[in-house]
Amino acid sequence: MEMTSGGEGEKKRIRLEFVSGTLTVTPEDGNMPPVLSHLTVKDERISAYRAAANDYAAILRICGACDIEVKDLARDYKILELNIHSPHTPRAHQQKALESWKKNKGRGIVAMPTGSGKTFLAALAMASIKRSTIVIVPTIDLLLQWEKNLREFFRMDVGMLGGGSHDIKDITVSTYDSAVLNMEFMGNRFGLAIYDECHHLPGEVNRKSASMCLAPYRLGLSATPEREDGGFEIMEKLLGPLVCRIHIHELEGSVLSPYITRRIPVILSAEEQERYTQARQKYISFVRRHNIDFSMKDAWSSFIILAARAPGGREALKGYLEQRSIARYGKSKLEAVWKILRNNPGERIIVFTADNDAAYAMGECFCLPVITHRTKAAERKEFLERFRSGEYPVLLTSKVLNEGVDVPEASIGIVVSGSGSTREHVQRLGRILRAKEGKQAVLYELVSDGTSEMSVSFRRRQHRAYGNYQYNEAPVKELPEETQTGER
Amino acid sequence: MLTKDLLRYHIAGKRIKPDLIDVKDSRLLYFAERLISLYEESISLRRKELDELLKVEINSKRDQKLAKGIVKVLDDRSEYSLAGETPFPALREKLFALSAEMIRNGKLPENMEKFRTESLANVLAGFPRGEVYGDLPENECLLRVRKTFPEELLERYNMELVRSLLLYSSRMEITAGGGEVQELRRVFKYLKFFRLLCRASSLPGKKKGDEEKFSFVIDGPAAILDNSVKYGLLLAGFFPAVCRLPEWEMRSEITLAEGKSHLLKIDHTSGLKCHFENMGAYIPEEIRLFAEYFREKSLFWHLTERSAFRKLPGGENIFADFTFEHSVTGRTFDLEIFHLWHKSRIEERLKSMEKGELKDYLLAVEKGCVKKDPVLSEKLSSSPSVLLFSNFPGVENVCKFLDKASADFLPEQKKKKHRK
Repeated sequence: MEMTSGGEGEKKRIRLEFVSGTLTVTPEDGNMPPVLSHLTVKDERISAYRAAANDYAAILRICGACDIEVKDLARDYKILELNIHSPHTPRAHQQKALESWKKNKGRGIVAMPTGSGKTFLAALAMASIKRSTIVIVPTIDLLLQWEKNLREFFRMDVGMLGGGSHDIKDITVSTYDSAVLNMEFMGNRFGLAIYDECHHLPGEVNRKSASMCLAPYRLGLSATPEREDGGFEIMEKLLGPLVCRIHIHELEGSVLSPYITRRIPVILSAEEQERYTQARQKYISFVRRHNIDFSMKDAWSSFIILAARAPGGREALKGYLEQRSIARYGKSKLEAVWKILRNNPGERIIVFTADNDAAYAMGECFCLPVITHRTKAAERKEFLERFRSGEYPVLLTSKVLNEGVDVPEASIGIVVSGSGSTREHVQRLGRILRAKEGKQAVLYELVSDGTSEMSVSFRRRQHRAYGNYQYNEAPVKELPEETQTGER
Repeated sequence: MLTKDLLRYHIAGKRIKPDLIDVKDSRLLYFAERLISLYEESISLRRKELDELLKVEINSKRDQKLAKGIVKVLDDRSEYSLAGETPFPALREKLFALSAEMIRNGKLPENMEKFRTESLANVLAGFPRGEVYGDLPENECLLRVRKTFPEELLERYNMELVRSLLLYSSRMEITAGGGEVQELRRVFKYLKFFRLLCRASSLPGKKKGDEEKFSFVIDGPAAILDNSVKYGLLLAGFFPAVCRLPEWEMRSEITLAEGKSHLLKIDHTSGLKCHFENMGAYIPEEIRLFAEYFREKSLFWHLTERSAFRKLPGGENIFADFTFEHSVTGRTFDLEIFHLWHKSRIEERLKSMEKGELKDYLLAVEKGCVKKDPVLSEKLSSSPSVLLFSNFPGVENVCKFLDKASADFLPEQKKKKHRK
């Protein structure tokens, strides 16, 4: 037999330990079984064999298949009695996703649109696997939301890591940042690891939250798992393959609200237009003079370096910032937002901006609550609760509410500015799609006419969620007020 | 530390060279002096007001990246806080309740400016300068700046530049020599504190009579499995300790962009100065307290500065955490402490002790290390050379342990004398 190196019939034995986010694999006779050699590395620093914690399941599987006895000192998670307490029953798409995931031995990624019940699917997976579980999320708002939902689903205390909390329990929710910091100490305490918005996982640092964890069961959740940088392969390696994909149109009108998207060109005032043109001229002529090609990687860094060194560079950078701020949150844009607020008094509205400056500029101008990463925890919680209850009908934000936060009552989204990212745009749309009786969701996209925002807007709408919908191309000033919520 | 956009370096072939500054350069010293004065005179100014003043200073320099970097180093030594007692959250709550009511009831004026200037003017009057978000970080006031001298600031800039590059590194290699072994031991204490691992080996002198040198490859536990920069922060934190050695060279692969690595090579001639003035400043609290309490409580045993540097057959060097000497018998013991994060070497150390490779060597092992291994637990519990502890070894337990170990090894006659 391949796995026996001693006398005939002598059983191979190994000892597994979890050490600093890795596994040490110690063969009893000192010789690593060849079937495990591709997963282990001899670490001379500690005179032992080391393996990645995320290969724990693979090692156990191989040992099981090859009759190698394992003394498992690594695993430190529990089997839990988990029952879901909820009036909801799984919907067909959730059942389908769960079955596909279980069929793949409890490993894999599920792609489902925002608002389609990913948290409930996660709870179903937890109740099915019945192991200590860690849920990893990208933001503090999601951390609080998951903690609340899981506590209610399972009627048990849920630990939190991040946002000032350091409390590890059998069910724990953590931010990606805190998981990276703590996984080397707690990576053996969970049998199931759930990665919400798992497209964040492949980042150089974030991936450590999965590679240093030995959880044999893994679930990745995202509305948009694809990445253009090859990161999807990393996700597959750490979580498993894409086991189920549900498209937005499959759920619209049943699980998700019917919706329309409206792109509204905003005409700059004559004064703004002149300032914009002048500022952009300074920036563009500098870029051309130095042959900076923005389709090349590192072009932006080159521009910044040249702006600091070359003559006219500072003016070019200043010009760039000025033209950007006019396009993103100039007076004409603010007036367009104001008009939409005035025309929709009974609605719950989320206003999205590309950056914090724009969000706070609007917050000051309209005297409205703003949530950014700078908002302190207590106010953040208060703003969200009051928005959910309807006490605050409008919430301004930059990017922190792009993902995951559950606000079923929100029916209008206004994208004042944003990047060219399809993912960001789809996620912003997702914020207003949670179904509610009689709800018709509308996503407004304000684009400063005749500025670089036009091409940015074109790029971010390249997704099937925007494929079959009509756009209102009329400038906001010409829109009759009563038709602001248009028809498909 | 410096942010990526403030890093100054140049690439020469496969090397990355940090653009260290001349800390004696009169123009830079003048700039540093002006900055320090500016900060000292700006106590109680708002951050954004200070930024405006700093802009003037920064714009006066040709190398703005350098100027901003020095400002960043100084700013990291400063403390800010919100000025005044304005209860912003409470004021905002009142304001937003009013604005929300007007939105809900469809009472927003057509002219958006009037909303602030007329509809909400009364409530807005309660906000300092009428700023609804006046408590954002840019509105915080400068509270104090740590006393810094111009040359010290420039030295610190150089150190931060190198450390900031090390954030993008997965491991470093140190060659050291020419110093007292106890200095190396201090370096090793830092290594342990930063939870890093190392492979240490001796390098014989090139010529006969040349001093022996030591080589250390330092990285984190999982670095052997991939070249992650996860340990970059720990390596950067640890590096200043190396600069305390009289002779050293550090080599590290720096990966600033994925797939592109360059070698950073720097040595004691760079003039980098360790800012851990008091080496105790970074020593974990429990170790400092232990040493203090031990000196107070122990009658016969005292902590020594003698080298706890041991060489194992095969060339590996190991360092204990403490060395104790008995004031009467002169007997010394080295004590090495094992916590959970480096427990994997316990058995190996025991074997070396059993083989007689480590004489007068004792181990203190955290109980959690053997929680799930009853065999090892039994082995350690029955060994006279091992002390098990829960969080950190207690002084009284260590004294008893040393007495017992000493008694076990001493000849009968000496034992009697010792008892007297």
